[in-house]
Amino acid sequence: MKNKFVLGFVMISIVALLSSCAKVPQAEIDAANAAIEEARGVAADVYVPAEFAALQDSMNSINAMVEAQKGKLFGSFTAVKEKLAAVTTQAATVKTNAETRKAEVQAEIETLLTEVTALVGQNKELVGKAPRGKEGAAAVEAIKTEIGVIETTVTEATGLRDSGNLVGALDKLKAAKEKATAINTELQDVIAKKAGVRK
Amino acid sequence: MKGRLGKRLIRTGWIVLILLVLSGVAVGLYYLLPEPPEDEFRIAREAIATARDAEADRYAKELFRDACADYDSAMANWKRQNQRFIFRRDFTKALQLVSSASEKARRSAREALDKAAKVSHSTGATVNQLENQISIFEKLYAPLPIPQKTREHFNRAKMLLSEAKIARGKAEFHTAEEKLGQAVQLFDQSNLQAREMMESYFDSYPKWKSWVEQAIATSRRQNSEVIVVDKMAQECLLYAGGDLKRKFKVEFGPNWIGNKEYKGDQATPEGNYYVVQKKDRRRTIYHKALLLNYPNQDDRVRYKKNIAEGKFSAQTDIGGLIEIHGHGGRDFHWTNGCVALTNSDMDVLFRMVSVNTPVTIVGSLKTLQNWMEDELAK
Repeated sequence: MKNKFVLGFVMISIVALLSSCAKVPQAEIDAANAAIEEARGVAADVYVPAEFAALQDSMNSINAMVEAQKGKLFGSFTAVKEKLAAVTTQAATVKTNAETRKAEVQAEIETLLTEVTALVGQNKELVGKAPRGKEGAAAVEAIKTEIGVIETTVTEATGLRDSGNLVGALDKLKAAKEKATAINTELQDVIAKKAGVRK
Repeated sequence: MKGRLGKRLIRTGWIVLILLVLSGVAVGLYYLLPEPPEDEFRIAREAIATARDAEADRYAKELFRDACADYDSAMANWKRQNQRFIFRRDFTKALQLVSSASEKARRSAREALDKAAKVSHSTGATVNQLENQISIFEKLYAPLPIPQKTREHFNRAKMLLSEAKIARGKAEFHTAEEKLGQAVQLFDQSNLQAREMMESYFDSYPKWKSWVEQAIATSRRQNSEVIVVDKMAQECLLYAGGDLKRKFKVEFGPNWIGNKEYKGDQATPEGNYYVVQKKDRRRTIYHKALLLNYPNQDDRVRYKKNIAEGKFSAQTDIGGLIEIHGHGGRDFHWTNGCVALTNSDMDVLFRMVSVNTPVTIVGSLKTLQNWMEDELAK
């Protein structure tokens, strides 16, 4: 009788050993995934793409670790839990960084919008004061059309900004500022030369 | 007593033996267990990360997508196997899939790097080519009264070129390629429109050439003065006895390319005219003036034809009072269709010509090809 009891105990112990694996830290996995999704929600993949990709790589690596531990006789999720905690923290940092970068881009857009609008206004005034040059009305018309194109670009950039495409808006405004500045310099040079001749 | 101790020892010995056998079996099975494909998955992840860094998601889209899909399938298969009893797990399929993922990721990285290098090179070449074409356009057509739409397309192309250069500066060759595609399309449109406008204008070149040759021949034959106005050169040429005597810079109306059709179109007429009246300071507000016989017979025929074809209403006035006058030298085309010289040049011309002096106004004395070559050489 005693023999049977001991044998039974041994068998149960073995079965328990074979099937006993440590529990998958599902709550931590869910928390990490949720943190990553939050980062994606603030467009971290757009504003801090490298950081976001690193985050995803870490999570993929953890998923593989989880499966590896699940496959072991004596699996342990201690290291996995540590890594999950690190990824969750990292995701929060990435989210913050993305928000900061987004705010910077937004501020840059607003500054550029103000600058380009001011330059366009100034250019319109300068066109009236500028000598016509040897190409005459055609040259003035060319500058006016260029100013018109800058205004269109500003409108497009505003549309992109409003639809959330801040990076696209920023690039458009940079190009618009470059053109507006070039026209401004050209007009001011011509006017200065004219004034010099008059003296 | 001895017998009981012996029995106990035998029992303990059995238990130890059973435990040892079971442990041995467990250890043996442990080593016989299928190895989880951890390393292969790590290698695949690294390959995918390398491919992503090489922008394979952009430049080798399909292959990269396949690599990711294979990795995901491998992972799902691994999960499925982990749900089976420990000794019944089989990672063959997962291994196949993850190896395929690695291989595809590596290939997509190579393809992406290759494509990115090509796009970088091609966008660089397109930027240079477009800048060159824009510079030619600016020399040839930008100073001319080209249609507003043409100028707008040209300026949009220039703006897109700037945007493409910004994208290239950030190594975003894909975006640069897209912007350049749009820029090239707009530039080609404007270039074609301008080119067609000029070709259509220069269709009259044989007629212009013939008019000028006849005018000079008349001047030679009659040993008299003739005035030839070359619009494209913006020059007024005075011939006497068939020889060129003087050359003056002139200005026209803003829409100086093309013929005058009606009053207020701010175009300068083209054709054979003559001076009908010499106006001194008392008779003109433009220093001095030579009134021409615009509209001549050809102008009237064309005007009637235009009305018949419905180009403008019968109420439209054909216009008149086209003169060669002073107050020029403003360096831009400002008249309502007249030809303007500086006052000093006007004094010279006024002195050298008389009423009935022939005046031939043409688009150009050069062919379009020659004009373009000369403009580009300037």
